[in-house]
Formats: sequence, C-alpha cells, structure tokens
Amino acid sequence: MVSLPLLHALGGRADLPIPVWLFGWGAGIVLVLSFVALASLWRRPRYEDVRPRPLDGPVSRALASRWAEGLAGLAGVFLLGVTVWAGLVGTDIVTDNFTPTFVFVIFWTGLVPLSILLGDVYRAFNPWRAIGRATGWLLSRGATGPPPEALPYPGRLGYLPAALGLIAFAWLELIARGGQTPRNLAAATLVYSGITFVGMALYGVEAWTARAESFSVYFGFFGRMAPFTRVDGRIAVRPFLSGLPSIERAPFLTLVLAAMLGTVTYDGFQEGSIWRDLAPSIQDGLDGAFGDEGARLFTEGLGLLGAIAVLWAFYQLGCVGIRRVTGGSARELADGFAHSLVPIASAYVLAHYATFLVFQGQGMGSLLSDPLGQGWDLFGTAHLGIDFGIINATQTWYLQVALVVVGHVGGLVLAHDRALARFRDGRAAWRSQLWMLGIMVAFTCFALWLLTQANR
Amino acid sequence: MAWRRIRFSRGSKPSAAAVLWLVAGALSVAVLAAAACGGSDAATPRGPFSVDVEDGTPVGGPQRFDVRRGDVVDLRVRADVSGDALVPGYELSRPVGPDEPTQLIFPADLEGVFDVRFRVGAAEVPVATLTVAP
Repeated sequence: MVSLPLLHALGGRADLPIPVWLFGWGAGIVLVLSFVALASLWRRPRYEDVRPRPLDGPVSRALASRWAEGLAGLAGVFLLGVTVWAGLVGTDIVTDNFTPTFVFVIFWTGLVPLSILLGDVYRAFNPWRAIGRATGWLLSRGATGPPPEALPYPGRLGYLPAALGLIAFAWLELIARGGQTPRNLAAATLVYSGITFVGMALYGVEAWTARAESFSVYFGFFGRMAPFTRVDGRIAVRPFLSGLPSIERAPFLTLVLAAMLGTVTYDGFQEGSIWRDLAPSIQDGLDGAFGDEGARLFTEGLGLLGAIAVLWAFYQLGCVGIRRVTGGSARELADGFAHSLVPIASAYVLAHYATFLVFQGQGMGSLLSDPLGQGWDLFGTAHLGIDFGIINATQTWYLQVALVVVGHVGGLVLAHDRALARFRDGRAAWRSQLWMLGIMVAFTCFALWLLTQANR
Repeated sequence: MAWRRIRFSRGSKPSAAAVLWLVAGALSVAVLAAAACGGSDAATPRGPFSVDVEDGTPVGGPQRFDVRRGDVVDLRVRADVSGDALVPGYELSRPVGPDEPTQLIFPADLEGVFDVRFRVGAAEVPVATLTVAP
C-alpha cells in the first residue's frame, strides 16, 4: 500500500513544467555565455579583498546603529512569539493559521531575495541571537558578576550543525507527515530554540550564530551576494557578489552548500514523474521491513539525502579534476571554490520558489488580521485573498530560466576570479577553469532540467 | 590550442565582466518582456472528469486531468463520507456526501497545476490534479 504525501499543503497553484524547447534555449544560452566568459573575462582578480565603502549620512548611521539592531531584534522576538503562539493556539487548518505561511513563505522563502538585494538582514532580526545577546548583557550586569567565558567552538565541527539543521528543516517541510501543521511547526520551533540557546550558552552567541545556527548561515551566505553590508556602524556598499569570496572556510562548508542545492533538488525532483514512478517501487519493497509509514519515510529520506550526496559528490569530483591540473589538496580546492556555488544555489531556490512566494506571500494579508484563524479582523485586511493570475505560466517559465542563467553567470564570475587569485600561472588558471566551468554548466543545466520535471 | 589563443587574446579587457553582466541582465529583461500572455479564448467543454473518494482516498489513486486555458472544466466528485470538494487556486468549494455527489463546472482561466482536494474537518487529501496549460 502506497500512501500519499501531503506536500506543499499551502500551495494553491503549482508551476507547469517548462517546455523542452525552452530548456534547450536556456542550456544553449548557458553554454554560449560560459565560453564567452572563458574567452573574455578579466585577467586579474577583482573580487578578492574588496573593501566595502561606508556611506556617510544620517540614514546610513541610523540603519546600522545599535538602536536599529535592537528594534529589529525586538521585532524578530515578537514574530517568533507570534509564530509559536499561533501554532499552539490557532486553528489546525494550515492555510488559515499564521504559522505555516510565515515560516515557509515569508521567512524561509521571502528572506532569500531580501538578503540577496539588501544584505544579511536576518542577522538583525534573528530572534535567537537577540535573546542570546540580551541575556548575556543582563548576566554581565547581574549581582553575581560576569558570566563564565564561553567554551571555544570546536573547530572540527565547522558548519556541520548548520548543515544538519537545514536538512532537518527540509525533512519537516517535505517529508514529515504533518510537518506543515501549525502545532507541529510550533513544537519544532521550540525544539530548535532550545538547541540554539544551549549552543549559544556553551560556545557564545556570535560563535554559534556564525557556524551552527542554520538560518544564520543560510541567509548569511545569500546576504553576501548583496551590494550592501555594515561596516563600523554605517551601511557600506560593495560590488554585487563581492562579499562571497570572504566566506569563512571551515569543515563541512561544501556540505552546507550541497544541502542548500540538494534540498531544492529533491523538492523539484519529487514533483516529477521519474521519482513518482520510482518511489512507490522502493516503498513497496520496504513495506515488510518498516511498515507503511516507515517505508515512506525511509524512501523519501533516501531521496533527500541522496540528492544532497549526489550534488556534493559531483562537486568534489570536479575539484579532483582541478587538482589533476594544479596539484594541491582536493579538499582545500573544494573549500576554495565553494563560494561560487552560492549564486547557483540562489538560482535553484528562486527559480523553484518564485511563484510560491508571489502567490502564498499574498496570503499574509489576511493572516496578519486573523493569525489564529478565528474570524478576527485586527487591521481590516482579513478579507484579502490571493490573486493566482498575477503571473501566467509563460511568464513564470521565462522568469525561472532567466534566474537560472543569471545565477550561473554569478557562479562563473566568482570561480574565474578565484582561479586567477589562486593560480598565478595563467595556464593552470585557465585549465582549472575548464573543470570548474564543467561543474557550473552541469549544475545549471541540471537546474533547468529540474524545471522541465516540475509537476509533470 | 584554439582555446588558448582565445583565452590569451588581446580582447581580454577588464570591462568584459560588465559586458557579461549586461548581456545576462538584458537577456533576463528581454525574455520577461517577451513573455506574451498565452492561452486560447475558445471555451471548449472538457470532461466530465470523475473522482470517487473512498475511506478518504481516491479510488485508483489520484488522477490527472489536462485542459488548456479557456476550456470549461466539468468535474464530478463522489465520496462515501461527508466532506468538501475543493479546488484551491480557483477558490472552489462544494459539499459532498454519501448521497450527495457534486458537480463543479468552471472556466479554466488560470494556468498552472492545481490540486483537487477532499476535506474532512481539518484534514485535506489531494484526490486529483488539474493541469491548465497555456
């Protein structure tokens, strides 16, 4: 017996698969742009060691001030509170409760384009960081004197907690039965809060936020694409993408990026006919050993982890190829070029979730007035609905392909720049580029192919 | 060898990066602008598409119904328990009961992939998929 997963319970309208001819055009443009880039891009590194230029003026200082950060933190804590409260107290109907739409649409999806455009805004709004910092401040002023020094964050752990958190979140969204229900989401939020506070208490707020807090790492990477950052209490500008080369290298960096790519890949892949045909066969084979639900969880978990593993292995394979040309350690090379995967990951996320954000984001209008789904109308917006005609299928296809192509160009630019910085020998830089180009083209064409499989 | 010549040609200028960005940006704007509103206006009746729900699940598994934009959809839902037949996206909801099959007739004027769902209480189960192509 094969049971039906209830995926995307929020969805009203899902995307049509992009037609094969558009896939062909998209892939063709990617190839042409890649070889144009290879032939004509700059010959000296330009994105390494970029210093953001602080903006003068009261607006810049106000936005980057401690007061603004404090207010944003308060807003974040308030939203965390509403998320848990609405989830626990409000209606069980997924679309009528504030929590699922806020968590999956506004937070998880909406913060991605916002971070890419404006920078790491999540850092200011991060409720766990705000609570951790406020607690530290209060403890330092307490009668018992300053709190004990935090333990040093274990270097070997690197980004592993962040990667595991992202995979767990994807499991909740895509696989867990009832993972989208308000009550379960509220419970998961509380569990995650508990883990985060323990981590912060042990290793310090900033250390845990920088490496282990999944959402800080996730949105922080996308925020490094943005032309804005914060320097010395002022907003500073920098070239688009130039924040990425300075991503801190630590163990499991490539795993985080593989998780960012792989979770979207699995989400896209499981909508398609290949997985829909394959999954029931695996599930049927496992029914006896694990039972109905166990077989489903095992099969889909295998799909999710398999997608992450395949993308991770493919990237590592490309880095082994580069090492054949340039020598050195493959692992070190993999970390050195990992930042160029961030624009590609952003393309995966935006292309896959653009319409989800555009449609379901409108649902927030009514939910703000009636967060519990109990017939309230706090702000007079409870009557607002969702206009599913705001973008048609053809426009969606072109938007998706354009996002993937632009993401690919971003990845190329960064990889090229890093190759020039690393390999002073022009020939080695050029030959390493061929390998990295191959990886980039493959990832991008795979993203386009996934779009041809959407809801097929 | 040809690639080496290209890579180290005099054409390599610092401004090439900007050109590449411009090409990518212009391409994106052009394809977005070129996205014409597709779809036929001819109202062709499509269906009837029938869904039977037993024990909260669709008999024979969830079906897929394919129509084109502008078609008129004739959807009929029967169920052995009382609930509601829904087409979220089209914002359609109609009660269904053991002795009360329902018929939904509506123009397919939104493109995309839509669930047909059966709701009992707070539980919703997808029972079919309606695909509206341009």
